[in-house]
Amino acid sequence: MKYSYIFLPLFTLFSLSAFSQVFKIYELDRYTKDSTIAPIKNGSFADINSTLYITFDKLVIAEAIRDFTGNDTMSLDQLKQLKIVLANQVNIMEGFKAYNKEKSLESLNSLAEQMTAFMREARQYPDIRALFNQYSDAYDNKYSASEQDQAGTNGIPYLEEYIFTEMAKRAADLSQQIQAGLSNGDVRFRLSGRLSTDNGERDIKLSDDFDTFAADVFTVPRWQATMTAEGQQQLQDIAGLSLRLNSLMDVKGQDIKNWLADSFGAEDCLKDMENRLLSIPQVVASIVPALAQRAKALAEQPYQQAKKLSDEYANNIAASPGVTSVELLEGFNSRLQGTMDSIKTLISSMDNNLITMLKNEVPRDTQITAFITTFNSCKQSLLADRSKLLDITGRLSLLFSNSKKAAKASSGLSDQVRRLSFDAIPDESFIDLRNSGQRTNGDQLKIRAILESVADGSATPIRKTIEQRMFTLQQIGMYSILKPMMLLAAPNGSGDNVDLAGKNFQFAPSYSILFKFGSRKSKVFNDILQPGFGVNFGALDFNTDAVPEFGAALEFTFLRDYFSGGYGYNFGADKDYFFIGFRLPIGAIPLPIFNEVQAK
Amino acid sequence: MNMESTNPRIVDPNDADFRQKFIDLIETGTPIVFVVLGDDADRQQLANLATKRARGHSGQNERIVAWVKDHDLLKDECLKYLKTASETAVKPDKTFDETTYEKVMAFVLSPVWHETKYIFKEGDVVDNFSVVDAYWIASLKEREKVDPPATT
Repeated sequence: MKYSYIFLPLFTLFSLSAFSQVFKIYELDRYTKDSTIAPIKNGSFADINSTLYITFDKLVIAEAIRDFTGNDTMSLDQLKQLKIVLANQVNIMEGFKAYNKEKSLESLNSLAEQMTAFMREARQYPDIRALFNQYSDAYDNKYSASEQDQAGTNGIPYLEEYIFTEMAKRAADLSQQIQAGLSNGDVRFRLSGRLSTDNGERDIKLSDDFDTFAADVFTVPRWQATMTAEGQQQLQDIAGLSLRLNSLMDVKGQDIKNWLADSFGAEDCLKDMENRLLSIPQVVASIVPALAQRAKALAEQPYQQAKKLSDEYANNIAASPGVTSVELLEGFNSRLQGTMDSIKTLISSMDNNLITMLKNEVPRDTQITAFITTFNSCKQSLLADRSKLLDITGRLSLLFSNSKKAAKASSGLSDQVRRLSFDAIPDESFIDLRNSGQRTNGDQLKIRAILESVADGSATPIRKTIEQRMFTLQQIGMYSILKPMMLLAAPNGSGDNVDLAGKNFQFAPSYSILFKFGSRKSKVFNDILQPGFGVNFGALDFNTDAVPEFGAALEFTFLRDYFSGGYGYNFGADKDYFFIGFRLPIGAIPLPIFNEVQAK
Repeated sequence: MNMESTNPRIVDPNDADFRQKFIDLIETGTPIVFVVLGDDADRQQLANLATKRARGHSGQNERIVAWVKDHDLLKDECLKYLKTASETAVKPDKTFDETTYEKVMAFVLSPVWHETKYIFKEGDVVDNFSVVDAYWIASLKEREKVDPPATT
């Protein structure tokens, strides 16, 4: 209903206090002249042709979102923990020296700067310290004292490696927990406008800021409103560290790959062995012909094994298209065991069979001696490859695979953090009432700010109105209308052209051009008294000859033009007159003189 | 010294050469030496943790734990090392205050110059974290050791 004196106080209850309002509305023209002006309140008036200027208080919106969502934020400590663990992962990865063939890739052994930096930072966080102690105890429980003495060999990690891989797992776990918290329900911030007229209610167009988004809605990730500034900064830092870690995984993985390629020291000697194994039966045949067949038989298996091993070496270090370096390392580690078994088989096969025969049954010959020497040298290379690769790649694989999990889990956080920012909600907006269609004085405009959330799997959103303004549209100041009136005209005295058949008053149709004044403050003035003044033009007939006479009068109206009175002159009867008038039940027409109601 | 030559190396006051052996333990080679002073419950825990964390580490230097159960047995020698303490080790003081010697539970010496890099005092938190921290701080790069100029 148009007159909502009963409902306005209720609407006021929906608003936040004057000190914490979601939005404030001003008439732009007035605000431009005086920015200290008070905003439009519930139940007040706003100019029907004005542009409304809306400012948003995003702190209040954030507070409303927190209240709406129950304020179940993730722990700031969790974020700090994740940040320090990720920073440590980044430091370790950055600590790997750039690949240099002359230097050992043993930067894991020179962790002093990284460790002390990590400890210095971790000292501020009791949780990290507790984790460190927990993982140290777990290391002691898992590996005996004698095993710890062999750390760095036989797949036994050093304490620092063990702790950092556990930290990487912890980073991955924290990332997943935090990501679950970030994903837990977005909140939609919606602004709606509705005009109540005598003909019913309709939605009105709001500003382009909101109308460019679907259904005038801003979707805000809940964490952006419920998280403190410190928490949001931690999240931003985590997102940055995650990007850095993911980048490092590929860069350093490439270093590892290059190092591996150069670490297969036995590759060349294997090729040499292949050739020598092909020729050794002829050499034996030339020295001891009776052993030729046996030499050939004993050389056959090692030859095939050496050939197979050469192929495995080539496959292990060749880059497969589309495989990242880290994946290559992880995959390599599983293939490596097969390669190492091949090395072991080749060596034992040669040692136990062909070499034994050559040493014990074939007289020394330079070629035989060269063959045995070459084999021994190649054997050392193979054993060195086996030992080094098993240990280091095992350790690096452990470190990289866990760091990769942490990097991957935390990269999901980066995506979350980069989503639509809470700051995308505009600080201000404009509503041009001339774009809201047909409207008249007394129409009520209701603007609401609404929060909406949708629980997972539910089709029905939960809504809450966090701010409302309901005010009346009114032409403020001077405006003019054209209005049909019915007069009761009374000639002032008698005259030659006055003959009302003994009556004092005569009904006459007329119309009035009225000038009114809209109040910004008084409902009584606008809605009840509504005085006007102007000119009335009537079709009189003082001599009752059925010929209308033109009369013009000054007029004063009140009580919404239901009553009027005035004094004028009948030009046809040449007689002045007084009148009282009543408005006809026909709507007024706004005149383009002073502030007509514009509609676009 | 402890005949086992494994950590912790307990100083035996009945050994005639215990002073020299203590100094040799520190200054021979480039080990990081974790010296525990005293024998109460906290110091026992500290010696135990220092021994555990002397294993399985990825540091370049050997880690040795020397335990002087009698706090005053090697006071002069220990004070000599404690006076080399870095500012970081004695924060917020600038230098080591000798009058606080009785409160010292342990100190950790760097491998090259044998300077005190970390001090555990009574009341300090003793856990894996602080012990590992002490070892790594002592592992930080020191200034290069240069032979003294020839005198002839």
